[in-house]
Amino acid sequence: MSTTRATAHPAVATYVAAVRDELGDLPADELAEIAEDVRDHLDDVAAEYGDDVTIGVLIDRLGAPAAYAAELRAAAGLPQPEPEPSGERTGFIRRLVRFVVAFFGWSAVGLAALAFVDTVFELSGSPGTFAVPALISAVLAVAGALLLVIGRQDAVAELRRLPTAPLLAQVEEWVRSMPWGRPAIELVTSLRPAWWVARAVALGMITALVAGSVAFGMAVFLVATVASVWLGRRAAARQIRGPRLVAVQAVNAALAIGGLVVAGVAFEAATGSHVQYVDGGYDDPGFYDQEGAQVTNIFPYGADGALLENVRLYDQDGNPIDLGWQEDCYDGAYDEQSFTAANAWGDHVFPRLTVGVSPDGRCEQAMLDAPFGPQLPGPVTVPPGDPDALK
Amino acid sequence: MDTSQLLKGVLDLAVLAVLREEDGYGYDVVRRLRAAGLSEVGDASVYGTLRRLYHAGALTTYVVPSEEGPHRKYYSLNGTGRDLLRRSAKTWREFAGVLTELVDHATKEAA
Repeated sequence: MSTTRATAHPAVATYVAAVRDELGDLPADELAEIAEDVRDHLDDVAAEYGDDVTIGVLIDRLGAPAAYAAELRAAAGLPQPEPEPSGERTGFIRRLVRFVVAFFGWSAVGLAALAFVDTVFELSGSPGTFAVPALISAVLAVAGALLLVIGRQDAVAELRRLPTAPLLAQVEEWVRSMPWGRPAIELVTSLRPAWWVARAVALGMITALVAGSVAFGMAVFLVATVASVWLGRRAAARQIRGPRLVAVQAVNAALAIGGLVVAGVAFEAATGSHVQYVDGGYDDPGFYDQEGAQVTNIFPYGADGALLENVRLYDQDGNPIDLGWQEDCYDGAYDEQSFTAANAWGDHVFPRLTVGVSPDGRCEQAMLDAPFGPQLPGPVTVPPGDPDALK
Repeated sequence: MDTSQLLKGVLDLAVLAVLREEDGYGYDVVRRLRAAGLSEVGDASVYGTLRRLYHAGALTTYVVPSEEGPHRKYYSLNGTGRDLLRRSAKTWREFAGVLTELVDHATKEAA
């Protein structure tokens, strides 16, 4: 016996994946157990051939994976799979829906991964960029899947007919054939109760965000925890099958994605500030408001409410503060556009003059265009405790 | 005559008989059955039979982890299994006796 987990041959993994795919209608836990036993057996068989073992050698020795699975099924007294429904029922529409479900399912996975990376590293600055399409894809995939399994006795078998579904079995076999595969899968399986709580947390957070009430979210979380653990234990004991199991999985997927979105929103709210100092595409950084629009001008008003002109701004280190690179007006610009002209005293001197664009696309004369005019409206207020402010 | 067809009916008995001698894991049981002369026995059939007998309560299992090779799930006969083996063996001997006599008698008459 020279094989070890670390050097398990890929041919074994391929063969086991194929057998597994043939037996895919069995309950997941039972299937995992059988796959494990078959894998151990094949490791022993493969060891007879050493490094020469190929998928062809295994098929010569054991028969095709489908035959192996059928033989196993017969000898072990396992139920026969539900036959593929007759041709007229597997019509074009059903095949199209299967394709659509697979497409949106994978899209949802990919987009959710992007949304996660985007949220953690703040790449796009708005978590909805990928999360919203991910959510839409997930909803479409789940809706399509429900459409497929409605009225089906064996919902799992129906879902196995989705394009690329066998790929998942192969990925799992590959993971299992790695030295770290089994411990990792055992670890994930042992985390099941944590997931039962996590999905209740997700539901509570989503509720709190949608209803705008933390207390209500907490109440939903408490009720959901009890329900979730009850459901989880029943599912683990394989007491939930068929369409109900699929419905539970659909809700799982929705909660996982929804929870990620809410976590992203909460994360953004916790770390985001009203004005961010971020790198623009140029060497010179600028200031941006809450909406992401560049701050292009500053209008300082004195304590008496009068507009101050030619105010020089410096930061705590004495560096001049400007508002970053700004485009100069050019002929042919849209007439709604507005530009600023640098103050003659320097880029750090405010306010700048505003340059409008005429309806025929020409730059107009630069002029001071304060939003409140030369004087702030309303009565002049004196800050408390500073009666000399106006003197 | 196709022995694989005959084997289907008596594989339970064969597997139980092999395990009476000594506990064994799937690959080992296949090898011992083949060594005993059942060369056409299928790997999947043996594993499926072991699994079914286990779920019927005739076998117990224990895993022996291995540093070098794969984990080994050993199957061993328990009381129910030994009982099943005794009854199956009795049925088989009666059946085999009847059939042998029938075949020998028919052969003698033909001769």
